[in-house]
Amino acid sequence: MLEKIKHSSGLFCLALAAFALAMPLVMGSTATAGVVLVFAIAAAACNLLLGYAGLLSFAQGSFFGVGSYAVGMVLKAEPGAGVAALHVCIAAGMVVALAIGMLSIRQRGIYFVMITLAMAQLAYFAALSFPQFTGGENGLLDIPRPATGLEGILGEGAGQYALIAVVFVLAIAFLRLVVRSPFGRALDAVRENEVRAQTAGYDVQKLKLLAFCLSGGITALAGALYALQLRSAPLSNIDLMTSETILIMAILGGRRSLLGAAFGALAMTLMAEQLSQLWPRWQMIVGFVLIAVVLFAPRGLGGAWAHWRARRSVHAGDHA
Amino acid sequence: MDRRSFLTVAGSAATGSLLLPHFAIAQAKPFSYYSVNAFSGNFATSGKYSDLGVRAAVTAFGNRLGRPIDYRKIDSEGNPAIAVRKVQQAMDQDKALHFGGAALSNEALAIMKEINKNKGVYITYVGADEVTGKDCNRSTFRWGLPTYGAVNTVMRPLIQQNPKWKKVYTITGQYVFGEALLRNAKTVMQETKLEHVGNSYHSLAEKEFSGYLGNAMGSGADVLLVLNFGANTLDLLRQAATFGLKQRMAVVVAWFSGLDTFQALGADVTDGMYFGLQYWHTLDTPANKDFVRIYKGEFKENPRFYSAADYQVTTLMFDAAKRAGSDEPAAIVKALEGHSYQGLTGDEQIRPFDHQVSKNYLLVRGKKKAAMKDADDYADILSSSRALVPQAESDCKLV
Amino acid sequence: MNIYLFQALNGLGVGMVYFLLSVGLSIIFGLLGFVNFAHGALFLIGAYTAMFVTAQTGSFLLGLVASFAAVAVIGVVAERWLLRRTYRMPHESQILITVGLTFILTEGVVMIFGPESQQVPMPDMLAGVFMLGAYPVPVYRVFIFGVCAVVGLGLWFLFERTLFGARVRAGNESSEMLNLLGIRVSRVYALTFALGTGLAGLAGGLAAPLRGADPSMGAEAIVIAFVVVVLGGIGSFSGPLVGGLIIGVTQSMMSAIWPEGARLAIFIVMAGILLVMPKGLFGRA
Repeated sequence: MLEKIKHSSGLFCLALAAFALAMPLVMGSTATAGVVLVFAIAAAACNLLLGYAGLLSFAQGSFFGVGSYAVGMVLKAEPGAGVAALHVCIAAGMVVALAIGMLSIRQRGIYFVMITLAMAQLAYFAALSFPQFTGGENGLLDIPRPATGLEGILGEGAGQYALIAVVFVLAIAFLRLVVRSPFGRALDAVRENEVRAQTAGYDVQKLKLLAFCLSGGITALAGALYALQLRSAPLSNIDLMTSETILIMAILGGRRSLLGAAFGALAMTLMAEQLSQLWPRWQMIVGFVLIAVVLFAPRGLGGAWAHWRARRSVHAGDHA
Repeated sequence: MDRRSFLTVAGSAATGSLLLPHFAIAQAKPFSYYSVNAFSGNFATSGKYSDLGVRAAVTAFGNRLGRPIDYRKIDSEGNPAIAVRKVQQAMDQDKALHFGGAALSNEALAIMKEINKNKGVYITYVGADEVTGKDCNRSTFRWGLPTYGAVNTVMRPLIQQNPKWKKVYTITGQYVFGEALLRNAKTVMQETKLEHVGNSYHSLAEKEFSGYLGNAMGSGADVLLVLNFGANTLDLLRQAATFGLKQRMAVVVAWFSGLDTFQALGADVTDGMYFGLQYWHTLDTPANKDFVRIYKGEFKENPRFYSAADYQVTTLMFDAAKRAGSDEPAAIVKALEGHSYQGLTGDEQIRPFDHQVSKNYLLVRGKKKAAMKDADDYADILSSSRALVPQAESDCKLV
Repeated sequence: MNIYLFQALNGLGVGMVYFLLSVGLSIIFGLLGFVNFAHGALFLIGAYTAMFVTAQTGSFLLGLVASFAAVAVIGVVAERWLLRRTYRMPHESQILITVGLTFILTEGVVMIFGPESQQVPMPDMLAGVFMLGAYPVPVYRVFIFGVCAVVGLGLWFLFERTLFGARVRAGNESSEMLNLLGIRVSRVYALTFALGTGLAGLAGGLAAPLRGADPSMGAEAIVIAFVVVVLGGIGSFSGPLVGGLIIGVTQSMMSAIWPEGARLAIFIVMAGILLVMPKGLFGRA
């Protein structure tokens, strides 16, 4: 079935929708399910950079935070803006990504990683330094949720979740479109061998920058949804830990697997949720899980699943 | 089995199962209390001691509510976003209504909004002015004096006792809380005619304070006033001690946690410095004596601020539920407003118009290591007093 | 002697600790191409080891030695049993596995010592202050500078004048070549790992009396370490030295010139230098 999903976008969207519908049941509440979807979007946007453009970015938290602050600022000023505020956030994310990208793209390898880390810290301190816009260490509070018209039928929590779910399906379907487009294939070429891609005539810098902007915009969208869920935009959305978490989820899911990103987000959130109730030192268990994944499923959850499926079909073929 | 016996058995089973839910309802529904704190992550110290405080409160309150108390922990992991989401989940899934605690101001500020929206009741003890100021709401109460009280009850008695002090240098955390401390400090300095010779801001993530200390020492001030919190304060004071700053000027710390931070620094550092505390375990009040006895009996050590604060707020919640005769948050809120009681710091009242508890704040001086009577005897209480923003000047108008 | 000079001197002291913290990361990355995100946790363990051993034995010197030794052992064991398997994996897998290791090490420390910030008393001999004009200079900071300088000299000698150092430098260029020359590459790796991690531990031990020991030390150390390594140039030895000093001095000077931005200035400097010299100050192509 996974093969079918890979080859048919209709089935892919269906899988996304099924995931979104299942989440509240799996996680027990729409609030936590919403968080899984939000981070799934962010992780998938990170996959675009990591698995396709070959860029390991520590700045994802900056875009996430920018999106949160943007939606907060817009909706507090103009509560009637509603869902249109999300467009502003995407734009804000793309602009910030453009700025960070222009400074970072020329670097390669670990130097690129470090520049993005520096940019992330810059964003964090900028947020702290302008409390009149960001609320400083207290964050932006009292962010009004936009009316989606579904609250009457489903109730406020579920209505909010419906919004997140729809955006989730759209965003990841969009990303899938991107990675399967000629642009996506160009990114693959750049990732595999930058020099060869350059000589083949690709404008490597522009390609990377565009990927960066797309990723930034979608990550900002995720951040905006998170702020709507929380009705606040805390400083923690723009800190290094957020960048790290998004990256971990993306790697865990398999760096090229968009659906895997959703499962990476699910796995990390589920672990945190369940384990933190049992043992204050639960992060140690997460550490062991991460190590186990690297050693036994080096291509992440998505890769392991594909690998297992491939082996099964081989064996099935043997018995045919 | 023949048909008759079968019907008899089936009949009794059916009737029995109809009766079962009635039987369950007849039993008492537990009082669910949710304590929000950081039990893991960077601020896990807060959660560790908070837990002990709540447990002491549950033990001390015993059966006075007439039913079991269901104490649940919500681990914010030191992250306000996670705190908000878990509170949402608890209110949504478990119909949680009664909350207490928070590791940091940003957590409290974020969750108090959610709790208010869903008509719960929440008692916290964090420092941000806004909790009972511009962000106040009907569901939230705060035990613990905010910056106005901290600065005034620390500075004014000291200035009176030390007429030779003329010049003050401040080192301030450049964040909302630090700015609030500085604002209040400046007012006090103006009113007491002290010269504010300089201020150094530092950022939240700062670790290297040598520069700011150098500025302070070069300013010719008599007093260094420290206006920050948490790790910033610890790093600053440790480095101040290595620079021998104490020998050249008095050091006054407006906001300090207490036993855990004294232990983190050691008596050699804190000796001779002045500190403002919300709570100290040697407080000589009937309520504190009871609390320390219970706490020491259960945990064999002196209570830290978080334990005391959580003990106090948890007890206030249970007590209000008992007096109101109801779990309904609206009733508990009513029972809390205007309530006067014997608190850990003495006579305490909950002001109805901003839900701020009027309590005492302590000014203490660090003792020499040689003068310590036991391992926790870090400080002598110099004064215990209170100062709160009057109703006319408050940003909060709940009544 | 004015405040800026005083700050610059302070900065040199801080910078030397940054050097000690970062040089191991630089060498390990240069030699093995391995991104060690657990480096900060090693700094943390060094600090706690120093605290523990000093408390048990009463000797700070022993505490420092222990902080080097304990972390070196952890480093070698981790390399041999765990990290070695990831050398051929892409960078992000190395990051994931070392992040996992960081969680395990940090939570392990909290399990043993508790989450509280702990004090590490300064040895009486080093607790004094001497005056440089109007400014007090703590003896301990001079001590740190001295220790780091000695270690730095030792490292220079090791890398430039010994056979082992030559092998490491050769391996930096091409590890296949090392293999072909018949040298046991795995042993060079193990020793390099021991040295690199041990130095981070020693840095933690030295820093402990100044900043205490608390669980968040690791997270903040890793950021500084990476900044210094990248600024100085990966794989080099002089890179972390100069990089560390630049960062230290920047931080200290900024707290006199632009205090709010003192932390931010570090990243601005790093970004600025990388814009002009994309491989860092002493990086190789």
